[in-house]
Amino acid sequence: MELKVDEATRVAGHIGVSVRIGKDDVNARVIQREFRGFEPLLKGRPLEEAPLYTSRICGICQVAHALASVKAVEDGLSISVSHEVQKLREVANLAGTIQSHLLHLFLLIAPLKLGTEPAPMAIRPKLNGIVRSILVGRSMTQRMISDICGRTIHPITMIAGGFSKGLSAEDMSRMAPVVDKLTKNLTELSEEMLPIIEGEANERGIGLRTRYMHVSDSGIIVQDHDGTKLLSFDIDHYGEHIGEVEAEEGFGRRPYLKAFGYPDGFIRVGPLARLNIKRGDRGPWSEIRHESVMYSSARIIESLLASERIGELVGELESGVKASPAELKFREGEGFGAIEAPRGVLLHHYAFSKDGVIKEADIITPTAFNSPAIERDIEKNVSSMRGMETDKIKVRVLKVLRDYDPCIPCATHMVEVVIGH
Amino acid sequence: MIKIALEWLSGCEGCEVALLDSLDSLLGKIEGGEAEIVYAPLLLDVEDYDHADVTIATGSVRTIADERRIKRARMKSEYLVALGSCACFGGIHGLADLQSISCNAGRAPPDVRLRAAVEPVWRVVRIDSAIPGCPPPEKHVKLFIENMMSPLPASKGKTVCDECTRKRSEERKIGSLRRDIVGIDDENCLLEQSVPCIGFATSSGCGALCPSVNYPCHGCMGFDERVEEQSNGIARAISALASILEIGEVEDALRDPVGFFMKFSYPSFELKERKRNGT
Repeated sequence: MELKVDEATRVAGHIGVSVRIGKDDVNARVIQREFRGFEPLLKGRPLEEAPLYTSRICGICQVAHALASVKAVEDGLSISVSHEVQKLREVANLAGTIQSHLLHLFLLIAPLKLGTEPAPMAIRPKLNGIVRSILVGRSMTQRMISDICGRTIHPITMIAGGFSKGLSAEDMSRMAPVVDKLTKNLTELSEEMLPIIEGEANERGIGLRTRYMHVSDSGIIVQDHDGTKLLSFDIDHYGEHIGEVEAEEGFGRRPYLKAFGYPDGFIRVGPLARLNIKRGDRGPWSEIRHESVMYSSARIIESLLASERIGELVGELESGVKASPAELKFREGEGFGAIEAPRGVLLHHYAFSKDGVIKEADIITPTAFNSPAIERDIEKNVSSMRGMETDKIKVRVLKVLRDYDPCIPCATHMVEVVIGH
Repeated sequence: MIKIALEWLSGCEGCEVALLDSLDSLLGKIEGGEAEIVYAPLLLDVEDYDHADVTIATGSVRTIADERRIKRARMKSEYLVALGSCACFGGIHGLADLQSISCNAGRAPPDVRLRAAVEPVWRVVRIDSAIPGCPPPEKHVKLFIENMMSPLPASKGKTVCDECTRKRSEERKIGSLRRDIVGIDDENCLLEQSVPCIGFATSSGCGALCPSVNYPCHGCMGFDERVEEQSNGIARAISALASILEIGEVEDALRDPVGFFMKFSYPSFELKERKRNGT
């Protein structure tokens, strides 16, 4: 039997799913039905404009793309940035993460999580009070991004060296009360939502035990499903550790860890991976969680943690941040930039000529990393539902797909790219 | 009650986010019974719809499926508005057409194969109005929703320079163009400080947002408010820059002339037609 959804709704971008259910096996494919072509179009473009171009890869995680890109430019030209700039960038990325998480939780999936009719709560006539307050909270983070980046979508100010325009003490003081209110809203939200999601996790009873990957300024780490540390490497060595194959169908590539081969070397990234690797004592994260639905819990907890962290950073930056454009001294070379985007590890890699023109670009996005895991997870879920009605299976397939919050405009990098040979 | 459809083609979804950022205005209309969303794959599990009074189209036409979707939207809609620079001019990702793309198109399902070139919506179906910008300016999106989807006031030939608060001299002359903004001041024209700003040719409407944060204009609002007229706009832009430059040719002064003049609108230019036809 084949179960097919040509284009899934309530997912960012154009994506299809096909599940073939055989006698003994289940084979799932997610099919990326969209092509963006940012790697080829960057060829011949001035290196310093890379953040402007690459933020347009995605209108949802645009801050993260601009940041990974500007870091790659700075890495390539050996430009260092001040602590203040690093902190303000962290605020921007955290705010971007909150707005992305809240967009997913309340505009794309909330109805399924709350068991209401499958129409997003936000555009139904009568709104649940908490949802309304969260939408207001999301607008607040967008406002913060606008203050730092020049506007809410596609950052303007993020340039090599720091920001093209600084923030005054007054600008910073406007952010503090916003963050306090946001933290309060998110605390209420987590109290209401986490038990509902835990209930859904128990009901489904499916967890895919995978490796998890995370990136920080000290490099990339990979952890096994039981928490054992497997690998750690600098981002400029990613090519030695991460391989890619073309998807069997659709515009997409499937990254994997070379140490484990393909397809066994698939990994998961994003909120679930981050909390599994950096477990604290927050909510249900006293142990490693493998259920895809826990991505939603992770998004809520991360939003709350991010809001608290923004509060700290805004306090530390209360006297403002100066504009800090760098002098650009071009030379031939390569640059690497990586960041935890809302959906997980995001890598930008550019090779450029002596006059600072991009020769090759390689961009690997979180949804690309997660795609093989989404397929395995759908297979595992469907296998456990043999004999059930097709409609029920279809609903589950879409739920699992949406748990990962895939972003298709991002995931479509697919051109053969050879750098550094 | 106005029935609204949101049709998305190939793009980054920033325009959808721009609409969601004005969600309060939209929700007000929905709660007040003035508007209803009948189709929006991002938000609703609705695969088809009978009729829309207004369709908001975002993204550009790149795949066979995009073409099918926008033709369906045209048939079902009274009024079709192109939102954002991809829908209006083809958008930034159209520059990929300059490269030979070695993609796994053979593995793409037949209905999502790539068309010969990225195209703005108006090349494929008739549009009734356009709201350019990457992303479209927030105040335009809000105004569009507040006014129940009626067209925005035209910019009437005004440019970003006309909206910019930086000081300009009467006789503009620049010797060379620079690539960083170290040491530039907040008050004077960026171009006169040798920063390659294209606001002099770009249609107004954004409030000179980028120059206001010390970043040069890159032309996302297009070079003519009539979306179909970008080719003439670029010719005017090139000659305008040439008249300001003291040295040599425009091409010598710029590292990437195509990216500079056609960043958001390469698919709209006639040059592209020539390339495609092989003449």
